[in-house]
Amino acid sequence: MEKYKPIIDDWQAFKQQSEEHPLQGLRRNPLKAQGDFEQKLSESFEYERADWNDNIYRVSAETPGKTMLHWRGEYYVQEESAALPVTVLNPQPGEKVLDMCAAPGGKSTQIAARMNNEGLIVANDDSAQRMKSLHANVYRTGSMIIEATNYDGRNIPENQKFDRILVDAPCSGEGDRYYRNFRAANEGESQGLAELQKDLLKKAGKLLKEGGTIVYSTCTLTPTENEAVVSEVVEETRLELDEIETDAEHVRGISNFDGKRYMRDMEKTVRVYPHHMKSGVIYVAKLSK
Amino acid sequence: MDERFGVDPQKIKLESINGDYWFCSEADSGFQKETRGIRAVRDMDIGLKPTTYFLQLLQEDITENIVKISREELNAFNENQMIERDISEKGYVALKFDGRIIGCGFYMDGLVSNRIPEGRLQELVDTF
Repeated sequence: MEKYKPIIDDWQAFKQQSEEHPLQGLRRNPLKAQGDFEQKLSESFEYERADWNDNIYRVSAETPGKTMLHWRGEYYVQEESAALPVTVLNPQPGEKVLDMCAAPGGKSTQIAARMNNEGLIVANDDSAQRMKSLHANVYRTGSMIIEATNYDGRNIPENQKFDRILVDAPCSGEGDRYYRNFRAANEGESQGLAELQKDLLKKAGKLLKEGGTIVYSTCTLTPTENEAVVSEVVEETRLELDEIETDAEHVRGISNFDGKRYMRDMEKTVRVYPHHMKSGVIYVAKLSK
Repeated sequence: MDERFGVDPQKIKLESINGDYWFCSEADSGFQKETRGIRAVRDMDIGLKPTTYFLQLLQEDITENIVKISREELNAFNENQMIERDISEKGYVALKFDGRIIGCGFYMDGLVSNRIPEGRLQELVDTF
């Protein structure tokens, strides 16, 4: 990870947090949570509410999924940082929304909750195996406006246009401690993924209504899969980059790294590092047509 | 659902798909899909059976044929036992535990049996 030192705002804090156990995060599901949710939650855990999103709670527990509230779908166990892309997407009741890489469904079910189960969500994933977890989470959370589809995201039919699209792209997961334990990906792997990420983002542009919004996100650090992807797609399409405003602690996207330059507008995008929320890594860009 | 559980029919619109009734968006992408919404009611030999997930989602909208159960009775269900109750009419009931609708049961001849899927019930008992 040393190679990322120039783009980390507080290297010591980053290193320290990367070695510590993150706080567990959970997202209250208003579609099923009852009025006494916090009282019931306090019977299982000590908790605090995140200051940037009323539905996000930080809890001190090793197994936050082992409660009746979770069983009933009143909350979803999710890293706090992972809740940012949907917050930025800001879906509204009655809209038509596409989640291109949806499994296991954390973000799709978050979208359904924000839409109060009004409208339509197409939750797509190209992995038949991962679709099982998507179905289970749709049922558990009561997200009845979700249609589950199993296309390669690059082949989604273009006869439907969407108000908002989430491209939570497959990535090298450098910020995923369980997958990679915070080790940097090699450049070849990232370059290969970047080609797929660009294809998915360009496809999202074709599926977006005029005036619609796309959010692109990854859980990796390398600019090859973040700013470089967004830069190239903005330059080659009619998509425009919008400034993200959020109360979540973050730093801005970067315009150069390791001798490569990206669009200056990349400061409109957002990077969240583990020490910002005692959570994971997330990169988020917001685009519109 | 209105006759058995007192749910206002204006609140739910179900769609018939492949013989069952689904709770889903009125909009349809027209894409080839694996599922659309959640299965709400199954057409069984003994009548229309609401799914556990659908009853959980309706929660406070359910006003009739609710059976409150204790932890001991939940454990009894998990061991395939039935519990005693006195309800006026045979049929499906909504099981309520610790203030929350948790799923579907069936009442007949003074006994209530569990209709929550076995694996899911085991997962719930395991949280205790």
